Amino acid sequence: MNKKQKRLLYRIIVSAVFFAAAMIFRFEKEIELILFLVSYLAVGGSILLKAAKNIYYGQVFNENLLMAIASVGAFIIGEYPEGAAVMLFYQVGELFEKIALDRSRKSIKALMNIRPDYANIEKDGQIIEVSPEEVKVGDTILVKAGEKVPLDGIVEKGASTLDTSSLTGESVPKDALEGDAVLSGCINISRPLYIKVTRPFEESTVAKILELVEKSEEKKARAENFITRFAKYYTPAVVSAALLLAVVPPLVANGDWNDWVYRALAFLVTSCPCALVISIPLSFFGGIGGASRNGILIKGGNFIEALSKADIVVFDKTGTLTKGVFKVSGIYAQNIESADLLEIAALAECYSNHPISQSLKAAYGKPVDTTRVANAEETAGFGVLAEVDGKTVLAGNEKLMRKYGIAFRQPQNVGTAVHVARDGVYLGYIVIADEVKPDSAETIRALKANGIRKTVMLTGDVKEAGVYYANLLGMDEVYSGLLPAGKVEQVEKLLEEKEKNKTLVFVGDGMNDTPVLTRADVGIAMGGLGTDAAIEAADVVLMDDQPKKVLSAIQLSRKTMRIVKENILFALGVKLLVLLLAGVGVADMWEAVFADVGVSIIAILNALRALKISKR
Amino acid sequence: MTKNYKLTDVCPTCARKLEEEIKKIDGVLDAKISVISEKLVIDCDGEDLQRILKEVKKACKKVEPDCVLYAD
Repeated sequence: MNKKQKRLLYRIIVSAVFFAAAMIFRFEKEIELILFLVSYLAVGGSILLKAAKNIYYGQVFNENLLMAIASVGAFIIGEYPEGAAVMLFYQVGELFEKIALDRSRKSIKALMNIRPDYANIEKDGQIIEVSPEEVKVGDTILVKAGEKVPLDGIVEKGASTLDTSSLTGESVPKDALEGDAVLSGCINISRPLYIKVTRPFEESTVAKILELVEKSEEKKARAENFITRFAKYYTPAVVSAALLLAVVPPLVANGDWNDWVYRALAFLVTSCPCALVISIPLSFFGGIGGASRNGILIKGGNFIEALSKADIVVFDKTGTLTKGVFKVSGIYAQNIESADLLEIAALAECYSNHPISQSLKAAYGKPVDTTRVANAEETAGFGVLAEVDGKTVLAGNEKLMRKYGIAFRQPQNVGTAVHVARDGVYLGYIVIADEVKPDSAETIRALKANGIRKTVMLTGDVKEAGVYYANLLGMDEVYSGLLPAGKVEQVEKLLEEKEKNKTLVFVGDGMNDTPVLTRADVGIAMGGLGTDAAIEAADVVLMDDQPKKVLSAIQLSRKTMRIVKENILFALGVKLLVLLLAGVGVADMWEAVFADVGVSIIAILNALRALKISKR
Repeated sequence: MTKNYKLTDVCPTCARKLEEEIKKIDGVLDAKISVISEKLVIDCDGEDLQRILKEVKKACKKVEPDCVLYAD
């Protein structure tokens, strides 16, 4: 509790003591009034003042006014205990609310406690601490054991293990050896590391994640907007209703003034919208906070809402369901030695950044002499056209071969075939195969078991490979041979197919899936541990690239939405009931206080559950 | 230009009301409040910051008298 909250607590205690004294012992009427007034003013003075200030500034309708009218009214008609109780319990609720908000704020901040405070750099032979913002790209920083890695970089010297759990939720430590890329926010566990900085602090992984979480508050879920709009009309409406209730029956039907005013006051107390107004945003904070503890970054409450209604989940194949680590698994040469075929392919693809060229280079094993290659030209979705040792070489998929009218052999193996032709002569193909991630099949199965109607695979890979992997994983549909534009088209078709009021989720690895990530209702990116494009384009980022986190994200969104719905129904239900009972004179002020403060506390406790999401 | 302020004792509802009030101030292009990090970010045209800050404080008093704003 902070100072302000403690002060409020003391006031509540003082007020409660006087209140109890007046209730338990018998006093003269005048002394009783004084005791109740002291009790009342100890907690209610500030509320009366606030209500007055609000009116002065033209902000008339809010909880302060509701409580002020209700309590003052009760005193005027001689119901002293009720008047004091309304304020006393209202303040108990307020205190509770503040503590709850503080608690969830603290636990979210603790999750986000990845901001580094300093970086060690060497200057004039001495190690000094500077703020991470001051370190420039290319500088070498020293990260001692037990320290947070302050900036993204590459290990220059040293070998250690890193705790990446604050980024990924994954507790298994990761090795960091010379040449490895390391991300800010990890904790160095064992030995000192010298790291060459590759990105300035503002662009570092830590800075991006922090910004993302802070901004997640801007995107409100529909349920949240509903409550805000609701509160705007609700308060003036109930105040008018209460006024009518107090005045009309005595004037028109000759009712008893005291009785009807009392009913109207109970009506006012009941109607206070605090329970909804605080518990709904609190649930969404909780959901987003709990998710980030699991390495799932959700960019706003609206995406929690959308995820909870997932109907179709579409996956990209490479890098999402498979590891995206390609290895040469077979060389089928024709008219040439296998080793030569590999060399030609590696040379032709040497300028490409495509994973396939990386694995060709890896299989080749020797440094590539780039002087032997000229005029390399890459066409996305086809392959490469280049001059190797002065001869025109084509290296790519079947489409490339067809485009240039070259007869090729149909590969029998699953994997990606790179066909090679030189000066129009077919030389054979090299098969590069990918490996399925260990949790992919389990994820697909669990998604179906959890009510996802359809799982679909979209891939740029050939039909054989697409079908092979889709069957292996047990997916419902597969569309292969798609270029980025084709993926968007296919997702649009699927969007029309989904059930009404449900959503389509696309999961991709973020590099080339940006257009689809944007088009889907919810775009989930495999964060690739900090791929820029992914963090930018996606609505949800999975920090550790595990497909099973898609399931976790859907499950925790559903849990959050369930809590939100429970709170709306429970709070509105109880209030409506008590409002009715108060109107007909059955419910008295005490029930009204429960409908206000009691419901509020229960709803807040329920909302705090959203933060508690067990680590999977 | 953007200016950052720290503010305490904001509830989610008053934060949204306060955002609306601050956006009405002359010279303020945008205002965002993060309830989690207790931060107010104002995007303003940079003229007469003193006046803008004064009016922001006034808006604060108006919406939620409990809320305290710290300029750094």
